[in-house]
Amino acid sequence: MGTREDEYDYLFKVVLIGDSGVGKSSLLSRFTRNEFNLESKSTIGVEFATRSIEVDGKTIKAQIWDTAGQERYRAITSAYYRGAVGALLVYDIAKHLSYENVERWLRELRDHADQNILIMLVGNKSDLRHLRSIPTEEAKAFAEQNGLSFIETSALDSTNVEPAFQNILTEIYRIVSQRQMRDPPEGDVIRPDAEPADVRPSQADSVRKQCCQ
Amino acid sequence: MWVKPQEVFIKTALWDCDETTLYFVLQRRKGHGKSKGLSSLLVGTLDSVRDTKPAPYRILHQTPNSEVYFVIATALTEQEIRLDWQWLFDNVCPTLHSFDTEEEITEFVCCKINSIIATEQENLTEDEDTITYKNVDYEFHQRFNMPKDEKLVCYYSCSYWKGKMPRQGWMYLSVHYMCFYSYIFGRKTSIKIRWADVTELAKTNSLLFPDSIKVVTRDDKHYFTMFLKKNETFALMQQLANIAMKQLIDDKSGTFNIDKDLLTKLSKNVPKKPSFLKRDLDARKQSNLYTLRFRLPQTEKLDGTEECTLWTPYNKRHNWGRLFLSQNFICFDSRVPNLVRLTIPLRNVHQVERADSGGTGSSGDSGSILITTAHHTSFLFGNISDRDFLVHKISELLAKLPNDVYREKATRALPREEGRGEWTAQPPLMTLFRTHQTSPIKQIQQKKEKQWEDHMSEVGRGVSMYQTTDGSELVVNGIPESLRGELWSVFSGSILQKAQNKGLYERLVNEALSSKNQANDEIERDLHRSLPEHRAFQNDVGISALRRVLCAYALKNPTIGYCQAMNIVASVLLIYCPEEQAFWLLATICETLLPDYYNTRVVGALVDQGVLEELTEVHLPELHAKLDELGMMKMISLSWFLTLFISVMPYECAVNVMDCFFYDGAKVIFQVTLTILDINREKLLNCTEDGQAMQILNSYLEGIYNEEAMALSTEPRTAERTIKIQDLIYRTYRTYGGSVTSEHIEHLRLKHRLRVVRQLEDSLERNTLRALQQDKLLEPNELQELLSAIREELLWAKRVPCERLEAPYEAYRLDYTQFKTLYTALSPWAKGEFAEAITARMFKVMDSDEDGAVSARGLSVCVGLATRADAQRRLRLLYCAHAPPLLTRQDLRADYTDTGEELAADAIAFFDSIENPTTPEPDASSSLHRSISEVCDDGNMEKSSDSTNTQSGSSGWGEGAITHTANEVRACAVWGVWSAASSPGAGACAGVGAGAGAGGLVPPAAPRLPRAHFLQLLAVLHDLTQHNLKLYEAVVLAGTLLLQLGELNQRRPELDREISQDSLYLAAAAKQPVELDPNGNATEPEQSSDSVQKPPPSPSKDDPDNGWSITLEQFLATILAQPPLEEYFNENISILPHLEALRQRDRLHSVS
Repeated sequence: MGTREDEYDYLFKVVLIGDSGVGKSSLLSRFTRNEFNLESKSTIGVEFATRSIEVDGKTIKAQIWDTAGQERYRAITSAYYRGAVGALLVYDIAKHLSYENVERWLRELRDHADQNILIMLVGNKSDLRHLRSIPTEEAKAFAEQNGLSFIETSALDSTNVEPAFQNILTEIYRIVSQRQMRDPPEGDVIRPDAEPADVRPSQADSVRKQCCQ
Repeated sequence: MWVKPQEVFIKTALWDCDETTLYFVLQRRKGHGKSKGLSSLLVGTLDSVRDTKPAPYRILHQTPNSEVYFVIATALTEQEIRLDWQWLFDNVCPTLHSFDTEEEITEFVCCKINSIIATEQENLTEDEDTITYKNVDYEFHQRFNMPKDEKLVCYYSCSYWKGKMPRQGWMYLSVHYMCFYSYIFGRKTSIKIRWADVTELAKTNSLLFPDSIKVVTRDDKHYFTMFLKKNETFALMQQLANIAMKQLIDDKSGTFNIDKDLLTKLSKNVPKKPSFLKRDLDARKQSNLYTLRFRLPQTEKLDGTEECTLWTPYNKRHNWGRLFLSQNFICFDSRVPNLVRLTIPLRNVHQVERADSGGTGSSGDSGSILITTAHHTSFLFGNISDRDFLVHKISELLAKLPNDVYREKATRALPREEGRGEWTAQPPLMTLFRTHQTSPIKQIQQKKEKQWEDHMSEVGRGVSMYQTTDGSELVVNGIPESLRGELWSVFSGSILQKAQNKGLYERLVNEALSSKNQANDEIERDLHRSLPEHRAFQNDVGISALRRVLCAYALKNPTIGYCQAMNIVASVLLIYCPEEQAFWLLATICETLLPDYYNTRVVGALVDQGVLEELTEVHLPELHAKLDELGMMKMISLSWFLTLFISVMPYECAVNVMDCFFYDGAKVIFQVTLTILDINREKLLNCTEDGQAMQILNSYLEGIYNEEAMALSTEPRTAERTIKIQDLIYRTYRTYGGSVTSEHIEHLRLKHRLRVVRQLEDSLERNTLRALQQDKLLEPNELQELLSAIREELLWAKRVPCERLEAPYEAYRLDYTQFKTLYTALSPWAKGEFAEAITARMFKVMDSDEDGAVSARGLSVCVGLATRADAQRRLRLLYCAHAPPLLTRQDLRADYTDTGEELAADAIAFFDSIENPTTPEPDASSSLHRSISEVCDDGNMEKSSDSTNTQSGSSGWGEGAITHTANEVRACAVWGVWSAASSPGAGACAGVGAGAGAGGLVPPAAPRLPRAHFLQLLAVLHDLTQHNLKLYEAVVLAGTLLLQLGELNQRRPELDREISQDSLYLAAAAKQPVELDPNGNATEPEQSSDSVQKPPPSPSKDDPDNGWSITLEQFLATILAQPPLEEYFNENISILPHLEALRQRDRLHSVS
């Protein structure tokens, strides 16, 4: 298992959540493979992909879990939140219901994910300008109120997809590396502490140096 | 087998005596066993002519001087009769000498035998439960305080391990409970467990608890041991627990009904069991196994079975096996597994005849019947021991078939009438969207088709084809594309469903397409995300067909509705099958093959993940440990199962798995999964994190290829090839074909269902508790207890929590009866005369969507407010509960037969109590006295209240007067609790728009209270405080003041504002030091009136006739000005004792 691809400094697990049909899988395939299919199969249970990016000369491997959006799968998918350090909460800017449900998804995260998970609100399908039903400002205000970062993307024309993932991963990285500087890694375990923006990595091995042997 | 002693006169006719003693004779029927001769032949014939064949062995009781003999035992085998014989010798004979007369001996013997029968075999009567059983049933209800309708199923003697001591006693199994009772040396042990609470049932054998049955509930573990029939007991326990779980899953109320029909069916061949219900359950179980085995509709009830042979023309042999008969089918399965299996729908049966031997001398010739179907196919069964009975039975069943399905003609279905719907059912989409096959693939397909044609020319085609070993080999190799639709339908049994429900699909489609609902919206969203790589679904033809199938199914089965994954499965079905057939295949998958998979909690899929985990642990222990460590054991193959591998394998490969799946059932997907894990074992063992393992499996699955079919993807497959699908399936069958059987899977599903359902329940409960705690009213332990009380109440009402979209607590929905039971038990307000009224009013406040049900939160909030909130909030709740439009005029009427009278009478009584100072006057100022007298002087109370009522009756509080909607009043009633997250739907936008979202700092305005309403409220307060003189007086005082205030409001409505300020001062005056602020959060009079006088509209201005009213602020200020009341309404009341009382309550009396 010693290929270059496996070498990374940090491994972050990020989940994609949000209503069915808002474009979670499209965001994933745009980010990890730079592909876009107007029509792809609905996600059943979870799907998964990875991509590595560079931040400050460090390789960060993002492990992105894409989940089924249908209500009845929620109990199942919430099991995947465990260990996630970031979440992209996606809604469709043209579907008001998907935005209204954001609150429910937040509750879901509060209930099942690590407390310090970093959440980014993502308004997808920004290319559908003429169909927009949620003004950017409204969503932005909501995000601020709830302590989320916010971005609008379009997986179709690729707008902001890269920055969305870059931003959240960088932010996670900053928090983790800061903490690492403060308390040097001891057995790789990083404990959550009082700081509000702390990110707690999943397991002891979530942050790992050059894992390959 | 002992029989009830019966007189017989001729002792030798037709019988040979084997043994004779003074009092007993052991006889053998002529024609059986050793003796051969003319007479024995005769008897043999007689026996076969008669319907009832007597058992060939019997024991008679005789006395030397009597010609009367008694049959006391019969048996089918010599061995059996010898046992009885021996027992007589050992136990009865020695005592017989002590009797004086022969009559006494006879009497003793008969009595003895009768009692043996009574104890050993408590059931001789056909359809009634025995006396013994009834006694036990009575005891059971008494001992455990069971409601009358709780049915005892069976009881067993066993021991219960209490600590280290086994206690001998009885275990009672009933439909909803398992109980144990023992009473030894003056010590009573009594256990009562509800099946719905059982989390684990297991047979254990540990040093500590040898050979026991372990029952685990969420709080406790119990061990039972020393069963006489451990396996039977255990099987029954499992079955009952499973029924309870199914109820929890399905949310069907009172699913369990005795199936009388089924009961009579099996009574002939099934040995008698102690109870009616037990027999019913046994019958049910057998029927389930039967329908599973032959893929029959689940409604099919097994009637009986019979050992016999089936003549298979293709190899010209008689095959031993068992024939099964049920109301619509004759089925046969060979003794040698997979040798031959056959299903004959009775509706196809044309003729049933006795096929007497043509003298060919083969063993199969005796007792043969020949069944001919409408398609001119014949099936020959031989060696039937009771042929006449069978023939009779079949013709009986044939006669019972409903006319419209009777005798299906071998003709084609009528062409569809034109123009009935706006749609036409599509043929297999494969035929419309052909793929260009390369010639090698074409050749392979043609070769396969040829093989199948040859095979089917031997074994027949359609429903009643012989399913043979050769057939299964062909299936494993992959069914040719052109035959898939047909064979899938036959193998899965969906063809039977379709035939039984002619025309249903069309009706469903027409109805479904014209309705609009959530399921249809969800389906719409997924239509293009089902099998986008296939050309058929890049086109409206395919999309529309898929829409029809899914919408029709959602309508047919609302408990499932639409679940993502069904779209993917259905699209593949549509490629190969005509539309209607695809629909029935989907139905069969959802309901029979993958039960509960797609329901609202995906329970079945979770259950099967558990089953897979256990199988992995057994077959691949090392890998299991690894995957478990990675934390992905339970999730690894969810989508594999849910989509039958279609979403993870290339589709042209997944269909080969489906071939086997339809042929062999759900076990196939487990076998395939195990094989895939096994193949990737090494790689998986080297994984360091879950993502890696996921990737290994994903790329392996993507790389599976099929050279015998065309890849349909519009994009070239890029994945690296891993294994040929045929090889994978072959390997699957070789490795796990024998070890992972359907029976085993069913057994494991049963076991894991307990766990999964329990987990879902628990997580629902946890989430609900967490949500309820946010209201910050009741303590966590109180909430916990409250929730279990709610659960209990719902279980008794045979309603189960059903998870809903909005919020966890919405799952627990109480109707008024249930709400009433709990509220009256818990709330300090629901006491006395007005208990019922106040309960109804609270229910109304909490039932915000007015659907006749209140959620767990509704109950917790209104109990919490009444016991924990500060006085202001409690009073506000009370006030609002009496405010229009929540409390309507109809409500007032309903409580009091005549509008005015009783109210007035109430008011009079009220003022009488003031005017006749039998109670010492409180230390109130003289001004107050004056004001009271003013009010009274103002006129006759009766008259005034009368007039108010009549006024309001005529023009009253017209529409204009009520400017508050019910929900505004509700919002006011529970202000401070509800605001945070009451309506999640609007929550997001409201939160964004309104900012801060916390519901504002000022409570929403409350409507003014008209006189009649106020009097109601006053009466309630009056009633609540009756027990305490001080409180009572305070209420009287405050009430008087308020009446006066209302009067003032009426007189000068135009001076509304000043008056209300005045009135506040007035109220304040009632309390010696002016200290309006009881809790530090209320405000000074001026501020208070300022802040509140602005928002509430003043309806009275438009309605001068009906001026009498008071405002919430006046009400609060006046009441709170009375220290005893303030204290009373600020008191913290624990509801724990009430909850405890509720738990201890004798259910027997509360359930009619």
